[in-house]
Amino acid sequence: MLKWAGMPGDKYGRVMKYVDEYRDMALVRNLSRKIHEVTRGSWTIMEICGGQTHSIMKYGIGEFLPERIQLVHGPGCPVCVTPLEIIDKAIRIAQREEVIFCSFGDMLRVPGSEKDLLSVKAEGGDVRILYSPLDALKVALENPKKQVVFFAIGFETTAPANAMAVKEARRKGITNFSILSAHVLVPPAMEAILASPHNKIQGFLAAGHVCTVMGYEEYLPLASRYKVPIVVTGFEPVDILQGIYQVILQLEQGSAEVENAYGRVVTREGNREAKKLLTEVFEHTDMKWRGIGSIPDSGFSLAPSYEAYNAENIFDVGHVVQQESEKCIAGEVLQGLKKPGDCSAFGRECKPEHPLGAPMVSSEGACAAYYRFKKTETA
Amino acid sequence: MFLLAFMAKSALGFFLLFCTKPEDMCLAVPGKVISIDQTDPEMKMAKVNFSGIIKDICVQWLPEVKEGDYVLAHVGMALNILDEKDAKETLELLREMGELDAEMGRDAW
Repeated sequence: MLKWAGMPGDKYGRVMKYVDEYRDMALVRNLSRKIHEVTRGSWTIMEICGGQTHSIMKYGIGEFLPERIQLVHGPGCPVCVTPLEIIDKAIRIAQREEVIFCSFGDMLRVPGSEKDLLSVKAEGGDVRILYSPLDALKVALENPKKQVVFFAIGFETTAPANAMAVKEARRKGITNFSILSAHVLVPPAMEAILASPHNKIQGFLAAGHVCTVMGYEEYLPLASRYKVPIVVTGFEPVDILQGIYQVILQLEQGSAEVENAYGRVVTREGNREAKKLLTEVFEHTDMKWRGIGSIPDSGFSLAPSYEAYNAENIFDVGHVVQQESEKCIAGEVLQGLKKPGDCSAFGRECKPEHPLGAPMVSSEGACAAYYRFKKTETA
Repeated sequence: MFLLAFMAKSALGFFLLFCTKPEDMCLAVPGKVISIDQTDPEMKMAKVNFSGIIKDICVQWLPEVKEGDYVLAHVGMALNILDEKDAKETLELLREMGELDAEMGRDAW
């Protein structure tokens, strides 16, 4: 049963160049046939990025694959892994009279211990949704008597934009701007998955837009140390099948290389300027991942020279007592150990309208994708 | 009238492009660079057309960017210039894959 006809353009007939060509059903079928031809073994492949999980569910990619290929969804959903502690701090800061709290949209509905940011907004807090962290600087300039705090979360794709906002604030002398930072990094998370005694992942689709910024050199040691093929992959159905095809080819041949199946935007070294900015504004830190735990060196925090822009230093939020939902199995879902359908709350107490855990909030979250596209599959 | 229609269209387009999925943090979309503003050398900006919706995007990290290029944009920043040659070659390769199979007499199901 296919919900997708493979027609170019969106439902309004608008064609998006370099997007719609990669939704072409003829190419999808070509790749699907090739994959069926080369597959001999049973392989488990993880797509790291939640954006890819969403596409895989949306386009029913599983239906184009042999049954012996299993796709497992990775932790690449920034909203899902942002630690509860930070959400609670965000809520405390957003409640303050003098604060305008700015954020990407979906962070507002992520459950904290007691409430979410949307409830703070409903209670009269000045909480605003922005498209870009640079827009927060405009808000700061327009509201000189207020403290503007940007909720700077994300992987390597988003971190440079957040860094840019901080650097701009310093350059323009904007003093009523700060960030609440919770940045996470992909390669340490992949290493944590591979090093786990429960690991069953034999190949990875690396996150295409993370690699647009970072390049793919940092994956070379992972591929050789853990003998896993890693293929940089895009987000459209053709891209995803191309990535899967290249991983399977490698698995069948017994090789473990890093390959790039998203050459139209990813280069080996990534974006040099963006990387330079990351090194200037941030430094590596151990990071807690919600539902997973602490992973060494897996995050960015502000470098000492930019500490003045750290909202955690500016606002004393006091002691925060954290309380996770007892039923939610988000941690196991994020590590690929369980599927959303394994959770007793899935689709019952936990729905996108009233989520118990973050993966039900973000469209990049596996639970939300399964719920939306009506999948009840279990691990 | 035209202006109203245009405003309605751009508002709808803006909504579709940026508001229906604001949650897709790793969503990055390709758009065509219409013009580049270099007034501020540390904050080079460009007007970028995403299927009819024009947005101001920072292109500071793309020293070689020029009008007519397609860039991949994410939360207001252009991350890279699309390699149009690579895109074309990949698509051709994938199409040939099917044609070759058809010549070999296999079913294109």
